[in-house]
Amino acid sequence: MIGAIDRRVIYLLVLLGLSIPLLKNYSVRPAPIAAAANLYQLVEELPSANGRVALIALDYGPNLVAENGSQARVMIEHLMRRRIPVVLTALYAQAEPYLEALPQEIANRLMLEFPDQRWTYGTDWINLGYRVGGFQVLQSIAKSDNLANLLKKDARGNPLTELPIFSKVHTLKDIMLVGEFTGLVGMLDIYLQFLQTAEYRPPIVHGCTSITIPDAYIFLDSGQISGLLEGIAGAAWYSELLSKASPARAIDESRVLNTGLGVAHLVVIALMILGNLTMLWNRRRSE
Amino acid sequence: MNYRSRLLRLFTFLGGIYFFLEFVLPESFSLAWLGAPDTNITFGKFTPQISNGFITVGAMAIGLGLYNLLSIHGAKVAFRRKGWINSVALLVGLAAMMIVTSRDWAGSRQVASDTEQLVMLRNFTQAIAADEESKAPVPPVITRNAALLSALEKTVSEVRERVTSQLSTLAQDGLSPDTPQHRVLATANAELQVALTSVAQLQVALAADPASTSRHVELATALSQAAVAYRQILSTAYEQSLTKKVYNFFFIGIFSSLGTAMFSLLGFYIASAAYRAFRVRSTESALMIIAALIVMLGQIPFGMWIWEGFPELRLWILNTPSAGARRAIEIGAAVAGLVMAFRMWLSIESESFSEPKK
Repeated sequence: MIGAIDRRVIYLLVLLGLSIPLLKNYSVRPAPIAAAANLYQLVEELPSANGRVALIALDYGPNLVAENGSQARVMIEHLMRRRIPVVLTALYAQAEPYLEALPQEIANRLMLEFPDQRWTYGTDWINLGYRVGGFQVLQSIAKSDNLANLLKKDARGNPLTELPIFSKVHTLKDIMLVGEFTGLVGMLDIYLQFLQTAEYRPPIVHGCTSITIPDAYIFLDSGQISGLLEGIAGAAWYSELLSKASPARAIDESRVLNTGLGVAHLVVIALMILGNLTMLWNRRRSE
Repeated sequence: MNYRSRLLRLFTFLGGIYFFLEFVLPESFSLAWLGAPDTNITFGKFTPQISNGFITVGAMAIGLGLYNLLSIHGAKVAFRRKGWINSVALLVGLAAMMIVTSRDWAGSRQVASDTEQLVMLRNFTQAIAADEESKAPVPPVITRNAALLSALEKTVSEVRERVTSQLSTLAQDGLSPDTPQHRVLATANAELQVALTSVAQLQVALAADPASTSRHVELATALSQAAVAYRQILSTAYEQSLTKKVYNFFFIGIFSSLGTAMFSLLGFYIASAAYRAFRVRSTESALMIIAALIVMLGQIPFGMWIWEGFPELRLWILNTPSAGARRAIEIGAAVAGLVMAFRMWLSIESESFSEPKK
């Protein structure tokens, strides 16, 4: 009889598989993900400089930041590269610090890549902060005929009427894209249900965690969401497309994470095969 | 049934029916079919106010949560009950985060309020011109212009001083000229200086002709530009401040890292479980393992090294059998949810509405 592998050995194998690519900053070309490519194309075709904005909701906390954070990073970067103004918000309290840190980090990276250009708060992005009230907030946004009056101030306390980004934003119709990044159950549903009027529903795109991919595909298939980023793999493929369009772009964390995760998946696959071979071997021996 | 139960049931019923009708009815509709062609009903007219009420009630949970934490863990520490040291850690963490977050909140509000001075002056400038044009019953334009000039002088000198002090502090802190922040500051400062020079020139013109409002539009524009640049400088400087660094250390450095580490432990358990549980013992389990292998190989970069068709096959599994099965589960859950919603709406679900058990 062949005995089972000690679980500590399995943990060690996973640890090595995950950490070596991360420590070495090693990345390989990600697998092509069709949904991510479609989303990239959707953002690519958005009209810029028309005063309309993209609303990005970061509804994740520290537990989901590895996946949702990487997805949001690549998509916001793409929007900023295309000079499409980004309005960030969250219906989840723990996301609040990411709303402030993430776009700033992307802007700094872009300014290093393009030393003669600037991406600034108030013009290229704003942070509306965490909004209490869940679906009622979205319902109010959909019904409002003066969003600056409804939302009043950004997270830094500036009146929205004073920020250049909000100068042409009045109603839901001025939001040309909604990006919802979450792994929380039911969070996407409320955006789909309530962020619409009888005349207009902005295209909603979604960044989901790997565990919620099967749920997200229902909405993608039905056309209720217009684009999807699936876990780290989706973010990595989106990042690959961004790098293809901008060769000077530095490799971001999603591709390195995806490589580490890929090695860990190989470990899992090897363990599954080994487990079955052991079972078969033991069965034959006992017969 | 006592009056409280009745009241709760009544409010639950009315609330349920209101939100149901508000969702399904059009925003505005006519009552022509009832013989009142001139009557239009806007059903959701007060929804924002009602929603704000709910949000306010929801916000009270913060106070309730704080009270509960302090009373439960405070008592544990005070009476040295089992695990009291963990309660100390929790209370210290809570206090530290509250202090740091409050400081950060106050710091960013200060930036907004400092910029507000320029915005108020712009609004005042616009108001003088508008009131003069509409002949509004306000104090004479000479008096208002004099007040504007005096406020401008004070505010502009304060803005200049503040910017000089912020920039020298940042230089002392070693902000490198190669950083994006430095470039943002330099550009914003240049824009601010241009706007303030323009304001100064208009001030001189206004002092020479104190009864005129001909330059007010120009002055308001210059003040607007100065406000945008000033806000940019103060915000960028605040990002480099100690308060912001401490906040980022607490949240991103400690809280976020610990939360991520806790969640990442799942990865180790999944690998261990895959080894123990993914065994081909029946046709169904064989199907599940094959599907899992294809989905994994279609998603990871190395799957492509084995066979380029894995991503396509993965997509088919997710789009066809998986989505179909998932949809069936969702529909089942939605029907169950609807039944539950009806039970709650009619107050036959919760025991809290019932008579206390004897």
